[in-house]
Amino acid sequence: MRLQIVAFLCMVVAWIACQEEKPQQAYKTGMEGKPLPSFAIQLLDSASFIHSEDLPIGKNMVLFYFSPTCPYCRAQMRDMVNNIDRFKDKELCILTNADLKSINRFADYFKLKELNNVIVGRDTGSVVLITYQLMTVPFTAYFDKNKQLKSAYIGRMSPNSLFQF
Amino acid sequence: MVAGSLPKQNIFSYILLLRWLKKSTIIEIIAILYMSMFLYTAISKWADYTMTQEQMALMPLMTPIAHIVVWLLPATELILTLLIFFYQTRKKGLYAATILMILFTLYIIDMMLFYPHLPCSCGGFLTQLSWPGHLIFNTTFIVLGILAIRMHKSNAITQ
Repeated sequence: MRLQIVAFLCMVVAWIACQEEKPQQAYKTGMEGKPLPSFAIQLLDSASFIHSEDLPIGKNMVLFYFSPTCPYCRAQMRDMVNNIDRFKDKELCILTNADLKSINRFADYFKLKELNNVIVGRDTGSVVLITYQLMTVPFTAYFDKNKQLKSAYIGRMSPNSLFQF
Repeated sequence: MVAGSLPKQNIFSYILLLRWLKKSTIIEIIAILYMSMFLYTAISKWADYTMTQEQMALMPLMTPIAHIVVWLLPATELILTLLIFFYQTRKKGLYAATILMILFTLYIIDMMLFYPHLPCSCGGFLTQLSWPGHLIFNTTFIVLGILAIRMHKSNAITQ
């Protein structure tokens, strides 16, 4: 029994030691300070398109690029949806190059269609992926009011890093 | 009786005690392995609740109940840890743990056959294992569980 208690304590201590949160490292795209690339966004009804240049100016924007079957993307999306009030002064642009059926399922699951400041769509030409040379998702990019890139991150962002902007 | 030698009955008892000690040590080691695994995976799942829930929601048939399973599964693992921890309930704990591992293994086989591209939601470093890796890991634990149950039985008879 004593051996077990020692083993338990070792495990708990080791586990706690492994929990130290690493600060989120920015991903250098080389496009900092440059405007959002020009591309078409196919909306969820499949018939409508908007152009990235038509996204509203005068509001900071968060671009979230995801894959519908990526658990890290889904976990970050959940964090964002649960704290949507903290994005109320920003425009959320949620994009992927996946098929529309998967995007619709994703949008329904997170109830994204009910949110006002959210644009969900398909980056038909994978322009975001190509422009920022993305190998993995989720990709989160912060743009200022003039739609110029401030900073970008790859991988799931911790809630603390996510809301610091 | 020659000085320095043990009476026959005492030697027999000594061998029995040695055998009993060996078995009990093996059972103890297997119990610690099971407890470590369940405790680790349960805490890992709860530590990143959002991630676990979303991983589970990706699993076929699990989407509508992911928010329940995300609590139920770690709770079950913690209860099993406690059952194995106390000697009085260890046998029941080992039975339940082995059955749970068999169920997990059946689920893994299903995932390997039909959804190999999807990730698992085991928690902690176990998430890094491939599906065949999971299968080997689980099979090892099932064998250990059965071994511990059998030893526990014969240990009780010997006692």
